[in-house]
Amino acid sequence: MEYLAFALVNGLLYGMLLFMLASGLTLIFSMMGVLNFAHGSFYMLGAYFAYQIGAMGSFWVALFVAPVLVGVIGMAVERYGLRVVHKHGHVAELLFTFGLAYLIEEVVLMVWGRQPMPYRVPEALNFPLFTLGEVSFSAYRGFMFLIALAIFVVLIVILRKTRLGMLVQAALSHPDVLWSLGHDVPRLFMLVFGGGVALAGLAGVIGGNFLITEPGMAHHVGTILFVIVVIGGLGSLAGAFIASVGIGILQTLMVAYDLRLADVLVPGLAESGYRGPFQEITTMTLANLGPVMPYLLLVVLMALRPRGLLGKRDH
Amino acid sequence: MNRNRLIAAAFAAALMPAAVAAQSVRVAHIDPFSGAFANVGALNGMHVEYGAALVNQSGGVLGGRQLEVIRFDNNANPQDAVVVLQEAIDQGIRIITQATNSGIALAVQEAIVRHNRRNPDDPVLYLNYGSADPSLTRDHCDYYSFRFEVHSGMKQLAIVDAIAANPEIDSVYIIGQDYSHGHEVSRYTRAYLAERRPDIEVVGDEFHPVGRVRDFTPYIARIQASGADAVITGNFGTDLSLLIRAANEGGLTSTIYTQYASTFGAPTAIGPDGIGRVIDTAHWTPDVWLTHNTEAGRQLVEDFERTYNAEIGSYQILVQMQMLGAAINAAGSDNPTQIAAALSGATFDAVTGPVMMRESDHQLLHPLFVSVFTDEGITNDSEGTGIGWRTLREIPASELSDDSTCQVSVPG
Repeated sequence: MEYLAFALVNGLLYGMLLFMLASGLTLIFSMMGVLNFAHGSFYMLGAYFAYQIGAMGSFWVALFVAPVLVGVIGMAVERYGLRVVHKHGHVAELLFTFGLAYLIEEVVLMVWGRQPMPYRVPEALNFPLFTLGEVSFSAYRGFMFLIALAIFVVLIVILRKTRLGMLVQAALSHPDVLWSLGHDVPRLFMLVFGGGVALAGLAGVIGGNFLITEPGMAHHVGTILFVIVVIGGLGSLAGAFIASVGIGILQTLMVAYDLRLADVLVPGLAESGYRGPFQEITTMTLANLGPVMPYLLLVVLMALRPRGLLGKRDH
Repeated sequence: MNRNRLIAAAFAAALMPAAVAAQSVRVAHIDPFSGAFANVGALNGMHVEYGAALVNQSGGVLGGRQLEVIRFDNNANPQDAVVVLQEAIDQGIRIITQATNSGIALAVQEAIVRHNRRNPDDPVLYLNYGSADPSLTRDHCDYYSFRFEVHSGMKQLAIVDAIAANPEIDSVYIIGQDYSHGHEVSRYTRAYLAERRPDIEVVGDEFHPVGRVRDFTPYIARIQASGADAVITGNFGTDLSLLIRAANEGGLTSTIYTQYASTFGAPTAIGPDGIGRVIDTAHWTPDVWLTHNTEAGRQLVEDFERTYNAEIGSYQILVQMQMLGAAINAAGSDNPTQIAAALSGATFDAVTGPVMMRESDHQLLHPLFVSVFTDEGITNDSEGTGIGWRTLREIPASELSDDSTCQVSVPG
């Protein structure tokens, strides 16, 4: 029981971290029609900036400064890059972000090199918060959870309750009307892009020391992010939330339960030490199937419901 | 006329390096010098170059000729490695050195064995300074192939010995990456534990997907639940760092026995989380030369650092180059067959202790050091982390377990 609770909490935490990334990606897509390939790279930039600022100042300064820096870079990219490319259509924009992802990775390699960075969890949060059974839950995990939760709430409040949020929602469905009403839609685009990548940057700040800050980190989250926004339904925040948390919990649970595929299909088959045709498949553990699950879900969902869980548009 | 002159000029230019090369003995160093693993290639490159310089400084080979290293980029890819190997052979180079990744090493070794079978009068020598797949000298041992670092199985035996010597350990948990390397580590561990300490219970033996696990907490929870005294892993890279980080965070108190915690980048990635918790087995750590207190070792470490502004990482590469130089001189020839004959069974006084090239399978036996990751009682730290490796146990080459099961066949 404790074990299950622990796996659920960790899965939820991982899901929340994924949501911080996916929310920005799905907002940018629904508004501008651009699938931002460089989203994971901004997450990486957040982690490297936080390491650098943390090395000079403190983690707490980095927590605020790094996402702002990433957001500013994002806005500059939108203003001087995407907006220029925009008139050549979505394919050009897609290719632009694709190139940008590689550009950021190369710059990171040039500046920081290929070695992992010694970016650490701050000492103040490096203690066990509580212990379930024999495994302890660190204070930093609790802190990450709070941050992710706060971001989720703030995002909902901004989108639902503020004027800016209403404009963003209006721009999602009827940008032309908004434009003709005299609103500065390009500026709105710039803000959303900057805000979206700043969220990715923040995820990098709190995830970079929890995981490992190295040049491969953008790539690691990149693919799973696309799976999440597509499963959730492109452009749907609620869908992205369900998909993030669902995939986070699913992956953790599959690792947590040491079951063999055979036991799930035919109870007792693996226990009996079955050897024969297809033994490679029957002895496969659920933990090893974990990484495949998001992609399996993606493929099945695309076949059954191409617009995703809560997507509004069929493309 | 004009065109002819141009061709003549081009011809002369093409011949020039060949004329210079006739003076030197050329060694082709095939490694990833570009792309994702360029840093590994660059680091190995320094060692190969420095090893050649050591030979050249002490008089070169065959009465004053120089060892010349020529680099070939394999893009960390087996196919590319075989292509550049052919290029090196076409340029007349008959000594090849290559390591990093065992998949590439197997491909290169196979291509060289094929070349040597087809050209028995013009063979190529293969020097492997680190690819750790046991099968390279176990199932595929070859007269012209030499490995200068112990394979993962031999290393695992040294680890099991260290565990067996600790009476406080009653149970172990094996966790590894789900591919040949992880499985070999598990196999060797189980076999030798059964022999050395049959009372130790293996309470867990599992494999996780390679490079895909972000959060090792569930695995740590299982290790906690098993009550294992020690964890054994062959993991490297992020799979190792994340495992240790999760162990620290989850409050796991078991010691973690590793193979790759002291390799390039790992001490930085592990950091303080690993203090007192990680015990690694390797051929070299920044403090190893101190335990032997040799002047030669000190000079070597300081000079390398002065030259490249980097720490010695793969000391076995230097051993390899020095043994190559000595073998060429002993053979009195740069003919690969004669060099191979001189290398087989050769001994060398390394700064870590005497080493010996096993005749049966051309696997070098060298000292191994079991050391704990700590910030106390060390002189030199790793990668500027303030944390280093304190030697707990030294295994001289003569005491390495003799697991040789292969016998090279002498050509002719």
